[in-house]
Amino acid sequence: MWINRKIKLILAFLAFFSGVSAAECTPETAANYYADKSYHEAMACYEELLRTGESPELYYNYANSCYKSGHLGLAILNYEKALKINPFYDDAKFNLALVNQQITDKIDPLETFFLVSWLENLGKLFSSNQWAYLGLFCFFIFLAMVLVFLFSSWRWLRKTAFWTGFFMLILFITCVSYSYIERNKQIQTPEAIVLVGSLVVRSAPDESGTELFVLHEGSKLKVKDELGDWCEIVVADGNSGWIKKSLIGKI
Amino acid sequence: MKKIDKLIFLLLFALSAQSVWAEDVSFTASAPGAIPSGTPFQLVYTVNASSKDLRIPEIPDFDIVAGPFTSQSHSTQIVNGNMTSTTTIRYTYTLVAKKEGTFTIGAASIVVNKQKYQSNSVTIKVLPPDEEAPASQNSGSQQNIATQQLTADNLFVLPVVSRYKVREQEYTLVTYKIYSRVDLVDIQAPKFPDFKGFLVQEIDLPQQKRLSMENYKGKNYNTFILRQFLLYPQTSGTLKISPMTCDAVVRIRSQQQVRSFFDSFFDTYQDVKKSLSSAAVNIEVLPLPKPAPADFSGAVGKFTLSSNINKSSLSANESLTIQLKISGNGNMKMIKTPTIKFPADFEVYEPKVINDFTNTTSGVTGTKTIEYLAIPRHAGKFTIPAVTFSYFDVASQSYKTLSTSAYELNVEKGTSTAGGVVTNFTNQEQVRLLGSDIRYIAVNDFDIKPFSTFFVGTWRFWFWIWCPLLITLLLVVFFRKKAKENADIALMRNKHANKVARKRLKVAAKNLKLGNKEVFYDEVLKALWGYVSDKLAMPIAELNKENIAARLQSKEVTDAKIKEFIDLLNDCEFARYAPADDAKEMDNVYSRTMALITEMEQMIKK
Repeated sequence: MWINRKIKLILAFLAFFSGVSAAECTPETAANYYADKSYHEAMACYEELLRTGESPELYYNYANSCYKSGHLGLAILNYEKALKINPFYDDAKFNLALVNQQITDKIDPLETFFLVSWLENLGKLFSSNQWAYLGLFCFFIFLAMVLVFLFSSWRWLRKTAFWTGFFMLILFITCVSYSYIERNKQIQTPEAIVLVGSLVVRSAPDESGTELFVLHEGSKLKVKDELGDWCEIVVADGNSGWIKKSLIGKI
Repeated sequence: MKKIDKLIFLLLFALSAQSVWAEDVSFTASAPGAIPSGTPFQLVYTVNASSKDLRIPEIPDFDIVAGPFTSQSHSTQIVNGNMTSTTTIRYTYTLVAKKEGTFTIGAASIVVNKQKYQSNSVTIKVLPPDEEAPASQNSGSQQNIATQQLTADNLFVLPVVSRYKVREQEYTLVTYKIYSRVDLVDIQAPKFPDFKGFLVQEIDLPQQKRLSMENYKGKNYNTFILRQFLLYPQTSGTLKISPMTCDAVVRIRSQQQVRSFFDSFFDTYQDVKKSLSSAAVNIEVLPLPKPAPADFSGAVGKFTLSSNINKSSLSANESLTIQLKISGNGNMKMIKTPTIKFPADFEVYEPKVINDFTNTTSGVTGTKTIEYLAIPRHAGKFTIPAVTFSYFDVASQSYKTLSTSAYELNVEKGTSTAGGVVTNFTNQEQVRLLGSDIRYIAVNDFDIKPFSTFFVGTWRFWFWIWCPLLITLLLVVFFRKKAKENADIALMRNKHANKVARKRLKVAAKNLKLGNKEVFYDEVLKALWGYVSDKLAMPIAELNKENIAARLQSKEVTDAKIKEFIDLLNDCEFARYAPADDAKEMDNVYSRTMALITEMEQMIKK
């Protein structure tokens, strides 16, 4: 009887604690915080959720909370993260464009040959994984077309299958190439966002390095190299230098 | 007749007399506001009608030295034939105060025309006697003062500041007062400081300077107010008010003493100018506490806010007025006009502001009336939000926010265009962007997936490449016979040769009917060449009449048929360019071709 009560008590205790931790953060509670305009709480909640996994919506909502509580850099970083997973996320694109209007730095990108930039932009149309899936899809169609070509007795069908298959093969190669290109770009020179109000870019990975230029919160840059706490960055206008890793967030 | 005239005249006279009696009886008491003790002064009761039985109240604090003396004056006025007569009776008492302090002499009563009237009560401030002046010399205050020497003690100007420590935008009253114990004739060229750092509001004073007595540092002075200013500090810190200067003209007794009998009656006087300068004053201004409410725009004091709307339901294109009244006491002039957030669709006009302020010694008081005019252009239900107005309350030293109520507005469709008038323009308008903000968060149910990694190049990716590839290869291996058959294009073409040739001949037959000779022969030639090309699996370009014979022989076509085929080709080519237009010949060629293809088909199939 006494033991039974004790067990019951412990169970109640456990239930209480587990209840608290479960109620702490769900997308719904975070959305409620956001609706109540308590953006800091919403931010904390989304941060908690982002430890467990990811989704474009989660990054997007987190970015919104960041923006509303005044963290421009974090907001841009997370919009970019959302768009990295889903480049077709309209709301994220809209908000990113809006927030980007509010950052301090205006960086004019280097002019490149139009074909090169065109090809590069084509690669940015999809994420690496989306390119890969698209490639696989093309590959399946290609195989199907091969079978149709071999086993169909209608001449027009064979002809269509032949050309479709040929086209699909080229598409497959293109998609997989882009998938690899995008992946390597992100592994070798990942993009990052400045998270602090302003930072000084130096000529060497050292506090005593010559100060080259200043970047402000929200600016986008590419990480070329890393060395200890420092990383070499390059900005869209071609300037490069060294900064502390902790001041930026990789997309 | 004359009698009647007299009667009317008497009647009129009586009426006019009646009107005189009907006038209000005024019964007033008057006495100086301040008086040094020991100095006699006059208490006068004035009544504007013949009266009797004056009863004055008990006045234990004063001694009645003399009185009552009664004096009467009478005046008659005829204006535009209206006669008015005034009788004034004055009862004068001469009193002397026994002790210092402020005393009130209560109401006296009098009977006029069998009716009892009450006078006002009088408050008298009894000042202590001058410390230096011996009481025996005091025969009259004015005379006493006039005999004084012209020193800085006897004539000076003093800035009297109501408050030395104020909040920013909270008023302080500065009164420039002249203190004099001499016979002051005039004040000339007064120069007031520029009150740097203050918003200055001058208080209007009556034209007639009011003299009063005041005890200052043990002496009694005749004082009057030169000018009064309300100062609203605009910045915090210690603000200095620089001195004011003026020239005083004083009448003093001539230095030359003429010893004669008349001297005591006719003194010789001369006017002397003396420049006066007040002391500088420092006002300590405290800043307003922080944080201020968001809508605080600098109003300090004590205010009330009210609003009203002229209609709550109207039709489109009708005007709408909202009146906002801010009334109270404070820095009214600095109040910014609050803005009403009308619905975006409204045409809003510049608000009309009516200021009704008066400067009093307790600050600028009054009402600021703001009229907002708006015209709704479209029908619908609208809400005009509440207007908030924040001010710093001086009494409680805290910020207070006043708010009006929000108005619900029902706008009905207006009769905007009168019937019969054709308008060229449409009522459409671009959707106006009211502001830009980020879009709202995603609220649909979304799945949180584990962190993604790159898919390309992983074993899964390669699995999806190799697996279908292998399946395809297996399928090809299993069904290779079918594939091989399909791959034999020559065989396919062989099979289809007859069909193609017949299709061509059909076209030829159509042209035969129409009589298009050239097209007909063209089609027949194409049918023949195409047929052998398909059957022999040779491109048309490689074919000619010489090698066809050899090829057809190998396909076991009889020589006769080969010869017939060649002849047919020759006939067609010849007929095509021949001038003769022979329908019979064309018929003949068509039937020969049909027959030949049918026969050859059977031969080659074997």
